[in-house]
Amino acid sequence: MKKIISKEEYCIGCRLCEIHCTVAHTKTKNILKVFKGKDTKPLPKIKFEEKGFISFSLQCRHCEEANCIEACITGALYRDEKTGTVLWDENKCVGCWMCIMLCPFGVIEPDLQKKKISSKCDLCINEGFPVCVKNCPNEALVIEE
Amino acid sequence: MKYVIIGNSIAATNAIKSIREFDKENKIILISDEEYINYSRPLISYLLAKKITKEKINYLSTDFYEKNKVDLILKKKAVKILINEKSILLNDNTKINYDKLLLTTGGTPIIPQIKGINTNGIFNFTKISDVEKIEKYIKENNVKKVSVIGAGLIGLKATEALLELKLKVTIIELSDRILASTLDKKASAIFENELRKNGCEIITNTTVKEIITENNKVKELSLINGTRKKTDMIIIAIGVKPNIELVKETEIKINRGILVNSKMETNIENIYAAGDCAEPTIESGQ
Repeated sequence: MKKIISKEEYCIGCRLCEIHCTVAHTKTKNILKVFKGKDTKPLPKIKFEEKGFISFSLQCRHCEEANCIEACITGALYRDEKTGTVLWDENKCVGCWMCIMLCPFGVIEPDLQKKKISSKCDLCINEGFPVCVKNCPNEALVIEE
Repeated sequence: MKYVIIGNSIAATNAIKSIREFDKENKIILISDEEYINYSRPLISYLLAKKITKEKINYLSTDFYEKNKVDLILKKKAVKILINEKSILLNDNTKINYDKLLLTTGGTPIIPQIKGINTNGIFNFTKISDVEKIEKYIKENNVKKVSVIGAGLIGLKATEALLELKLKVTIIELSDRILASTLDKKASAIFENELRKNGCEIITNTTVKEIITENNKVKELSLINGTRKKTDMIIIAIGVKPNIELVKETEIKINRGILVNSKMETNIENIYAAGDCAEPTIESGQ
């Protein structure tokens, strides 16, 4: 199964991963339209952390035993049978946020406006390849099969 | 090999998934007295609050049973286990044979035996049918004030929905705080403050002594601390007990629930129990 690995020793803290992630999850996928507010601006599905000289970005680990799926009361979080990816069905989510409570990596974030969850990495299932990995200028994000 | 599962909530669903990991072919029959396929029980509060529709309460995809080759028997109740014949008798007198039987009959809400309990306007809050009954009663009786007895998770989920419907809610709890079995005093206080901010009244350290009725409807509560509380409707949420009706007159060993070992086997070969109806024995190490 695909997994994004974060190499903090290569991360330069440019946060391009966040920007590309946000743009990839919009309708137009046009960075200027998103920036100017002409398209919805979803929250990035990446958690970026920085302290002093250390920085890295982290996405959903798509755990084999996923607490979030176990805890989801609606069935909104589920595992894609073919790829093993943990996916999220926005229509089903009621925003109880139990997944946020239980995620051991803290990579699911609440979306306070929609009262749902926001940051659930889908490994860019519609793009074919994770855009954060593709656009990381220093190869701090790599994909492992 | 034929598997029969009685009950259709989360224990049954997980059993189906687990069986299909090892056995993709043999028949699974599922019997449920409800008319719905497995739905998410915690979501009934969202249904009552009208945050979701009935279609969205389903936990599983619509083709789950088909994909897993499960024959669903809905709206029928299993009334007897015929251990010697290895079969189940349903309430319409049909018999279903099994090779392996799993009981996932869940829990039944505890109803306190107090004066006035059999009147109209008293509800539990565990099933879709409870929501339907509550909705109907609120509409027909112009309900304004509701008392929720018990401040556990079910009581608070009911409270959440009722507050959303702009009703005046009073929680009555026997212990000194809400969610007493889940949270410490400090954490309970945070939730209590939040509820009070939303207009909810919380009365602790007491419970109901008697329900005073008028025209066969709930009118007032008399509490053991001597006070009275006017109310139009009552939700009883003081806990659930294992639903063991089906096994009571059989050789299957019970205590409060159906006794099972670490493999979820009962004392009778080929009969298993799981979920709220099961009780682990000491040997099971649970």
